[in-house]
Amino acid sequence: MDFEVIFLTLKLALMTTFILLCIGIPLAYWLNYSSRKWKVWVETIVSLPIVLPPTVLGFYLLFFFSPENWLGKFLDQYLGIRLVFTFTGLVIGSIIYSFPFMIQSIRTGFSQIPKSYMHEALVLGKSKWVIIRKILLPSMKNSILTGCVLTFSHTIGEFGVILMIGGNIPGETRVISIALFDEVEKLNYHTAHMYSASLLLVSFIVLFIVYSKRNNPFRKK
Amino acid sequence: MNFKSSLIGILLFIAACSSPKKTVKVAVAANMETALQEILIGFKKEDTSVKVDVIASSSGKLFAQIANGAPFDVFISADLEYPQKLIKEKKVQGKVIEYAQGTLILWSKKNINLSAIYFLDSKYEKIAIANPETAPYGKAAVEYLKKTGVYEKIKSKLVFAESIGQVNHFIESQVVDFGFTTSSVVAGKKENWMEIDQKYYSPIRQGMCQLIHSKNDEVSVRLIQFMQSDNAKKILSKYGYKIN
Amino acid sequence: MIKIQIYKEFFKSANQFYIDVDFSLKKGSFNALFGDSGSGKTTILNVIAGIKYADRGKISVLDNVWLDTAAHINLPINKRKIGVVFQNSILFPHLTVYENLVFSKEKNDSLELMNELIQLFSISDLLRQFPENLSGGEKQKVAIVRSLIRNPDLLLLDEPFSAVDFQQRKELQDALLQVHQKLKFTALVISHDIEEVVRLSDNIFMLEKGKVIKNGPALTLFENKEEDSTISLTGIVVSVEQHERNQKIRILVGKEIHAIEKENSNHQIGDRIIVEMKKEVKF
Repeated sequence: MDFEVIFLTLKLALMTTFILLCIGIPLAYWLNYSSRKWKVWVETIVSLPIVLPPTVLGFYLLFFFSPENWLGKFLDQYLGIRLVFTFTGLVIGSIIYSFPFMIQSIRTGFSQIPKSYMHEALVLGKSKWVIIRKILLPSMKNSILTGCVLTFSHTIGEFGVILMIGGNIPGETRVISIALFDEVEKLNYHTAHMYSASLLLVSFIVLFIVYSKRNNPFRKK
Repeated sequence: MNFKSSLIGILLFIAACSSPKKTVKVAVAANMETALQEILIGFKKEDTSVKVDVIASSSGKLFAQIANGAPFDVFISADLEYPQKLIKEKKVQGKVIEYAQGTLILWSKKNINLSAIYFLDSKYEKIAIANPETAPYGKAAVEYLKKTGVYEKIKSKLVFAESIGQVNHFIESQVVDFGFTTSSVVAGKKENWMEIDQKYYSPIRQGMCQLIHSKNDEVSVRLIQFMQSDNAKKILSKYGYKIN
Repeated sequence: MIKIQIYKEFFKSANQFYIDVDFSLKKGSFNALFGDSGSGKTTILNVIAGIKYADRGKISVLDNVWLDTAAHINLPINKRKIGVVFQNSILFPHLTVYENLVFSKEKNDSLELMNELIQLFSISDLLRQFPENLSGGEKQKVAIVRSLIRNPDLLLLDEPFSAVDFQQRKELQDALLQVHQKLKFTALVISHDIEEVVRLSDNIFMLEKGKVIKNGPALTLFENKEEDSTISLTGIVVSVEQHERNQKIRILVGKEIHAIEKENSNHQIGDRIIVEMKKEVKF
């Protein structure tokens, strides 16, 4: 078993989760509290990756980011960034693929906080960012945790997208799901079992943590 | 402006965190993977500082990836067409070199007498072949089936695998009764297999080429040469390939 | 001077109502908005706080314009120097009482004021508690303290003691009056409890169907239907002098003490009496 594969997978999952958390909180806040008419467009686009088959998503990403086409060419020539067959490309793909899981979890968290919390805090003269930081986010720890956990496990299990835009390059894009597939094709069933079992174990542990925290939420006593 | 610059910032941040390796990346058709690994043992002995990453898949898929900018240095295909198509895509450094001819075999993990096999027999339910659209061995298998006149009748039994690797997996795990694969998977092993007579399919002429991504570095050049050395030819024969 | 002009149309269970008010509050005064439920009191409070919009209106607090629809000025809630005590105040459950108070306090706000308020409302032994462990009355006390820490230009209270039991209600009213004496903030309390309104306020605005129909100090406001200019007020007996079967009773009505004589009575301190008085009579 190649530990580089595991390390790469964890790196991908952690980066995706972290970046989505940073993007997700302000976006989910806007989606929950805004009343602009074009909000529905944003909601639709955000939710797309849930219904889109991963291979379709991967295909479009390959198409748009390929250095043969204008966007990929632009990124390559002017910014030196390649988004196909690179780790960076995987992160972008994972972010898009897991986008709705993070956003919707956090949005649910915001929506479950009564409006009166906002009013009380606003009436005390606090700015929106202070309110988000000190009042809202601490009150929705469960939702944030759910979003992170879903994103993390979703990324670890990602296959279709990575198959399309990854290229199975060791140390770069050979993550555990791809390596598993690879080993099966090479008839290395023993190694395949190792990879499978570790994936299963990680998923189990992650879900276990989520459910135990659910029943005993973060509390200062 | 603020949004755009943070977007670019995020991209660069991610790019900085990924670590591209300066090694030789070889894209190899699935049927050649095992043989190549053995050849590389000798290759790495010549210069122990060299690191070689091997990415195996069906020739067609590798072609598509390379055409879309995949960062491979050398392409070892299972045919000549794909490397030649890459020349048209301006991805090739130098010429396409034919290094061997492949041998099509039948292989089974079940207790079947392959030399007396009757394809149309209803007791054979599933037959694995590589996808003829993307794998030269699959194409050869279809040729054989058509020439022997059974293709139309047994079409429904065919299970299309996405590469020779997957064909082997299907055969090994016995989810199929038998399949068409390459000789290299059974070479030197006590397995139940039978070679398909060459007259039934056009020769599987396998070619390789250096890719422009290698920027003509000397390791890639050396690898191509090493693939044509006597050492390499001996190993290829061992795996059932025919050398000119 | 605090000037409030609001015109707003709104719907409540498929009926259309409107609010059309124009009144002023003197700086440092304690005022009440009195009326039945449905008269629009809470909506007025919400508009003053900035939580709801007015169709037309102008609200100016001392020298600041909070709302001026004609000039398209609408100061956001958190920019208005206001204190609000809602009917069911929310103390943030993940913070202790002390942390709730400190959340309110900005750098420039006086620490002495905060400590003074804690003393005045006697909540110093609650500081380490979480809101879930507090009684209704205790929560409202904390809410009032929290709203006053910023020394607001205007304090709004929406039925602040209606969810509190009777005994605590009296204590809370006393504490509120005491604080008001000391800090002299301008207050506007909403209530449908006559006694509470009379006890607390210098000035009462009576609201009916969205309009202010009467306003004035407590004594002048509640009149008999008959034209004989006497008023009925409820007061609490504070001292009794017994002469045989007659009593000289001093009664607290609102903020004033009235002395009356009653025959054949045996009231005690703490009793509540309805007093009929001539309008122009003063003691």
